[in-house]
Amino acid sequence: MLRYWKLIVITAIIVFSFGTYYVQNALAKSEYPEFVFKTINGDEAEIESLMVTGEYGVNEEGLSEHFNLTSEGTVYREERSYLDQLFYRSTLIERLQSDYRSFMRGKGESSTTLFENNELLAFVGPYSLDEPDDSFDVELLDKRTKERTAFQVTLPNAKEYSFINIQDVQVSHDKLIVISRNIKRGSPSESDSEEIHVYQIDLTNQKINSDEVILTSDSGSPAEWIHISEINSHSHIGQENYFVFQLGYMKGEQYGSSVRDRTEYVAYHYETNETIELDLSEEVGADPTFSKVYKDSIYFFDTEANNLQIKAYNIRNDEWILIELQTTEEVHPANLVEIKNDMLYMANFNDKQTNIYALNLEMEELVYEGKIEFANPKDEQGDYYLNLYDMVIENE
Amino acid sequence: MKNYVKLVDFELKRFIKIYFVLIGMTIVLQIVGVILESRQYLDKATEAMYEYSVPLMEFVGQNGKFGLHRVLETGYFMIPIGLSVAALIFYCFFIWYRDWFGKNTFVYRLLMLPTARLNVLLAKASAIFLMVLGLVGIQLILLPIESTILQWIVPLDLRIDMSVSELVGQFGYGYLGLIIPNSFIQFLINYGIGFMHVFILFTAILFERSFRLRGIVYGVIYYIAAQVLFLFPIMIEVFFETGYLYPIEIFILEIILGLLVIGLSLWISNYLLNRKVTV
Amino acid sequence: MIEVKDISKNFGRKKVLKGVSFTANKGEITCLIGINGVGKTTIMNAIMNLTPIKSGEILIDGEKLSKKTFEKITFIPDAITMLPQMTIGEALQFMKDFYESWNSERANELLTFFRLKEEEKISSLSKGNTAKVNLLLGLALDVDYLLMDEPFTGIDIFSREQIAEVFTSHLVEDRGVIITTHEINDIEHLIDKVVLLDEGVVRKEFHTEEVRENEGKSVVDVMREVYKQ
Repeated sequence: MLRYWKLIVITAIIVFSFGTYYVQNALAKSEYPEFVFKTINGDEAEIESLMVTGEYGVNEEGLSEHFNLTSEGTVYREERSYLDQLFYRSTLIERLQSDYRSFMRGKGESSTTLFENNELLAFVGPYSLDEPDDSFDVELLDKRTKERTAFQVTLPNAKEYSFINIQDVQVSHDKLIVISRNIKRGSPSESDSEEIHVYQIDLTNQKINSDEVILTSDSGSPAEWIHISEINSHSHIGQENYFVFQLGYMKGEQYGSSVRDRTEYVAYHYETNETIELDLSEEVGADPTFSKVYKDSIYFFDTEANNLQIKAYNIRNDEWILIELQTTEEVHPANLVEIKNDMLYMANFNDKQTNIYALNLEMEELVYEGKIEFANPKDEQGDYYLNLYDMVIENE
Repeated sequence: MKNYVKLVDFELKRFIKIYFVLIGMTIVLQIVGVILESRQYLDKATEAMYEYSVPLMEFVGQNGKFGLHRVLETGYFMIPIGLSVAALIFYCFFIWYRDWFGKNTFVYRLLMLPTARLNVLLAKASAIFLMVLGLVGIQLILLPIESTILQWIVPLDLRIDMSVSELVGQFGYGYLGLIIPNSFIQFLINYGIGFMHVFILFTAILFERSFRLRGIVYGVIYYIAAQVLFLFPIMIEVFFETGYLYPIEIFILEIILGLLVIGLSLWISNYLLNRKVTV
Repeated sequence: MIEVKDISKNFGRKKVLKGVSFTANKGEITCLIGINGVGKTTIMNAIMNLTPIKSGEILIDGEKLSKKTFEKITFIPDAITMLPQMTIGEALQFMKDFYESWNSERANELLTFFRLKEEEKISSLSKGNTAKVNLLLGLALDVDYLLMDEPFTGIDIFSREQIAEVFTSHLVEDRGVIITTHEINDIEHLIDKVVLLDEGVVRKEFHTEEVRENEGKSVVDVMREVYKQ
């Protein structure tokens, strides 16, 4: 035995060092602090389905980790199983892939290419179309009969674009509508310009009925260009009435320094195929304000003044509603908002403090007010930061 | 089995001197590096605070706190680790060719041992694995020691103390995260792929040893073919972007293919050793 | 009995062995004779499965070679089969570790006979002593068959005599031995059987005793006859 001491020593070192290291890692409790929702007013049950995702870090140590926070507590990414971390998917895609495993196969993880209601699940893809492809794959799943319909539609004039990104998909009756952002191939001297297209696909004939350009980044003036952004949430795959764009009129070089001159809003109405220019400058001003689209309304959130003010513009009725809320805690500049079943959930935060609100839109009433707190007050020390970046209302 | 263990021990001994040199170099250079870098930082801090009266907070704000992660990026760490990696990769070839070349003809003896010839290959592979893991294991033991040395030199206010897993996980320094992954599963993945490559390489070398000039061509073809076989599902994804398989399915497929490639390599090696190899 | 049946081998396009057949019996010393490059070493390597053959078959006591056969047959090539950096003692330990048929007693006997010291490093030995160690590693195995490739080439006269002495001793008695040589003179009196090789074929296979008694010819006489044709 003694003759093999080298072999034995090396093996012992390996077993000892790796053994201790991985056993320690497996047993180690997260050193990151636990956060909780602290109720100030209202019933905690109101936020049972709320999950916020963010990052906690300590500046001077350069340490940070992502976490999910629900009313059940905090789960840091490092606490999840390694395979979960490795194959991370959004909650939405995870649900769809587990419920419709076969249908979701090969459909990617982009929520903008999907539409879902009680009867069906639809997919139009690929999310990003580039040369030499010139067609969308369309596939529908009837949730009740499990029947799948798949076909391809060739896009007219696809060659004119260097790529086409899908922004939203809607199905109503026998029509499928795709809103896409198309980058027009510019001549070498000029920069590429963007177009927003609406493709209407007839589900009975399985053909493209129309291809309309509803917006373009080209303002017609060489000194000005339009920065187009979508207000509708990309992670919503349910039915929407309007798809709203925010147009920033920019002065200056497109890829250099440019200054926002004014902001306009344009809504596309799915049902009537109308594009409506909205003049909201009086109410919301020239600067873009954090906003959300829900049903027929655009909600603008003003948290700069020291109270929480929500202005809702109803596109259908051309009416404004002002919701002013009295909050207990100081209001912060940044917001995350999700709206579901007429309930508006809001995380209002700066880099250390977060308020949580739940608002009943019909009653225009704050039903929950709370904040995110360290479970153990001793953990609140040093130069830490808390940065929230996602919010999900989980299905019951 | 007994013969296999004896052979592993024998193969280890044949490289042990250089191996000990590699270990010694790693230990000495890294510890010297920690001491010198810590001192240098401390001198800078002392100078700033006493000669220019910079407040501690301001100094930390400008220079950051000192920690082992700073030494990780220096040559004191990179050079010994790099040299060890290079030496072991080189030895993957040399472990075979040294038996054929030179004054001795030790390969006669190895092939005439009353044991399965595959044991010779497995012993060579095991010796390499043990040496690789041994070096990494020593690095694992060395890091907390170096951390302690750093703590002796740099006062608390000027340093960040980190455990090994924080060092790997937070700073994600490419090479450290590669050789000491934080997750055991990732450890199995990294070293599984590494060892699979050793087996593929051994088979390629045996092709060369069996068919000489022609064997080089066979060996290269086999090496590429094995890679293609292993990476097939991923290549399909990269080139055709079908996304047909879910990532977890590709992952499972890769595990199966990795094991398949190892099995195939061993099977071909066994055939070559018994039927084709020539002294 | 070692049976070599119709074996062929090519090196590239060159046919080295073109259907070689012969047998070597236990208790006899069989000598493969032929000029350099005639394929003697290749035959030895083929018997030990150290090089592949194109066709043919080799049987040892009626069985094909397997890993167990290496406890029954051993090969002493013309260069030493141990690492030069090992001492003689370490080489002996290595053999003891791997071979059940290793006979430590006999190894010690041979060490004394050859006047070798265990602590000597193989790389520091003279040519003659290296050859003796190489021989020792083979002879100390309790095997039935012993293959030796050119055991007398390039060795000083005293070592040669010592080695020749071994052949007549109990160390070789009862075993089957195949040796190769390109010069017969030194060992003619030792050998029982001769296989004459030329251009990849066996030209003649005969027992020395028989031709001496029946035809009154020496091995060299027969060789002259065969190669002059």
